Amino acid sequence: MPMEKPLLDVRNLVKHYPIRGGILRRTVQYNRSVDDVSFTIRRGETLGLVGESGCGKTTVCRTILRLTRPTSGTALFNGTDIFKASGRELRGLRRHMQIIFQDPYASLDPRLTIGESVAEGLVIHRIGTAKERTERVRGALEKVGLHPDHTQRFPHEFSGGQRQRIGIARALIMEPELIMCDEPVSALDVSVQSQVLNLLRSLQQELGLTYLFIAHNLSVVEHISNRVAVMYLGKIVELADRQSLFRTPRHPYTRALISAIPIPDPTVRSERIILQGDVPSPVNPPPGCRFHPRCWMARPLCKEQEPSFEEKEPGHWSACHFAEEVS
Amino acid sequence: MEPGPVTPADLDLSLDQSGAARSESQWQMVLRRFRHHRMAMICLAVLVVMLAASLLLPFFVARPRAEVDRAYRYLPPLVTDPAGIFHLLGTDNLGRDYLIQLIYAARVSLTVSVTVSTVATLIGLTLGLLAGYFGGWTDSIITRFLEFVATFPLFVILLILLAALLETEKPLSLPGPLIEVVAVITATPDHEAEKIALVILGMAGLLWPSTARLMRGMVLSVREHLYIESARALGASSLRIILKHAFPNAFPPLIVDYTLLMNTVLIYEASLSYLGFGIQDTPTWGNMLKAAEANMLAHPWMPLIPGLPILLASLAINYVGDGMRDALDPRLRK
Repeated sequence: MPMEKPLLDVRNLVKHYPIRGGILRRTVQYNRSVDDVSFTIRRGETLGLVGESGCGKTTVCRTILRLTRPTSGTALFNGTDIFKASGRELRGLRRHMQIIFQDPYASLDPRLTIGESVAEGLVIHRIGTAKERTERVRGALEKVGLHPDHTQRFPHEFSGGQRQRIGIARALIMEPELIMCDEPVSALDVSVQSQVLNLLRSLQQELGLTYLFIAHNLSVVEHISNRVAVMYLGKIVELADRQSLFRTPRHPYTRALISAIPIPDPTVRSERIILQGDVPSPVNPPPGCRFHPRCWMARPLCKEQEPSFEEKEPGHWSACHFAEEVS
Repeated sequence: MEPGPVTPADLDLSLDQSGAARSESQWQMVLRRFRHHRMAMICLAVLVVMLAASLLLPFFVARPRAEVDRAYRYLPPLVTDPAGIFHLLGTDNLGRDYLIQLIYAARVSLTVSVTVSTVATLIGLTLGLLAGYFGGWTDSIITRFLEFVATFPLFVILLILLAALLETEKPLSLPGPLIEVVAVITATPDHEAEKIALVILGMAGLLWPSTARLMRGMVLSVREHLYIESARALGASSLRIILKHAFPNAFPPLIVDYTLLMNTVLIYEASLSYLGFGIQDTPTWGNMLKAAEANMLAHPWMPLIPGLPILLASLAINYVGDGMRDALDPRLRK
């Protein structure tokens, strides 16, 4: 694989939320929401980020957009350090990085018309005249499959899938290089999910977009990603090409997730791996491998030593002591 | 699964294709719903008539002068005086036409009510917005100050404050233009306007905390909405987020609050004047009531006449507030 400079290069990203307690509101503990996460996204690819609720996927996304400050780590976007960017640089960065939110009902201001909502980015960055903006809004709406005359309507007049399209148009109009999709389809009906996924895919082909695609559903990620990262309790436990990850997972957690994907073929008997117990609290993660209390392969070593995140095969990274035995 | 490119025609557009046809903003909807609230519309009309009469009357009729002849005084309603002039509501203790006097008084009472609630709302709104949006130290300082002001027993403090201010000859050197403005809107001479301005400032300075608290709470809840984060992700500045997103979404309850405040001020002003602490030389509903009270035994109908507009205005404002609240309540969406 040619060593092209990645569009986004995240290294050792850590985000700990302080938990304050007592009368003096002193910090008593930390919620280790994201703990030492590194990954890269190449231009034009889609990196899927999967994990259970509360594993830190959204926090990764929010820190990269500087919606919240990281505790430590670096993130280079096109070579610019996002976390060190000053006010003006940050504005520039935000023009090229966009986000599509999970909840299409809450992410649009109910008091703005669709036209105003979609044009907001252009207004903020002072792009174009009023007339040009209107044209671009119409163009963007058309691109996401909405009628361009809907600009004067309000969010409450649209369905969930349509609102998510408006959200996509809102991101798209900025002609961004990177779009972070924070579970863009998990709030939608299954029939609408595939429509929106197909739309995102065709837009990527047409405009050469790069996606960081967050989901808690592996089948959605399988459908859209080139590479997939699996997160568990604030850490990436496995990162690989889609085929490689789905065919030969190198982490028991990934294997358990894959086994949970329903197979639309009644003759195939899938062997489901049911994980025992709940996700431990990120405030007090288990020692050693964070997954060991729920892992059916766990051995004494797993309790004592935290596995390092290593390249087990070319391009296939995993954090498991017994990666070879997983499948 | 390799899907082809998506074209608009492939996708289900459940909205009709007529597109921009009929679409209603939230404000248009509120307005439409308010118009269906009959009582509120009637009361709004009453208020508008009162306000219009008090604003327009001075252009046509001069302030009635005191009469020396006793035959002109204390005339009951619907009586013609010795000079042949008909008095719909009779005359007062100095022989002045009660109705004209009331309308002049309305000008002071209503403008005091409107200006005090406007000023108090503006102060409360700004401080509440800042406290709610920025949080942290800003919030702590503003909230402490707010609580400090809110602990004053309002009426007592107003009494003391106004008594002290109004007794001194040149209490506070208020800026000339401010007095001018008050003089124009209340149709009073400058020295009177100065006192009225003091009453307005004193009341507004004490009445803003409830509004600030309301606004702060609203902004706190609005701030958590995803569309605020969404705007920030697009690169919007704090100022833009406050003005374009936080304020418009936090604002509606303030309309109801404003009408309630108007009502409070109206009653307070009347009470203050009645107790002889507020505006004294210019007739207001409150001090007319006080003047009438002195002769209540001999002329029992007299206190009713200035009492009636107080009741009417207060009820009307309440109903308008009620109508606004119903119109703004999303749970009653029709």
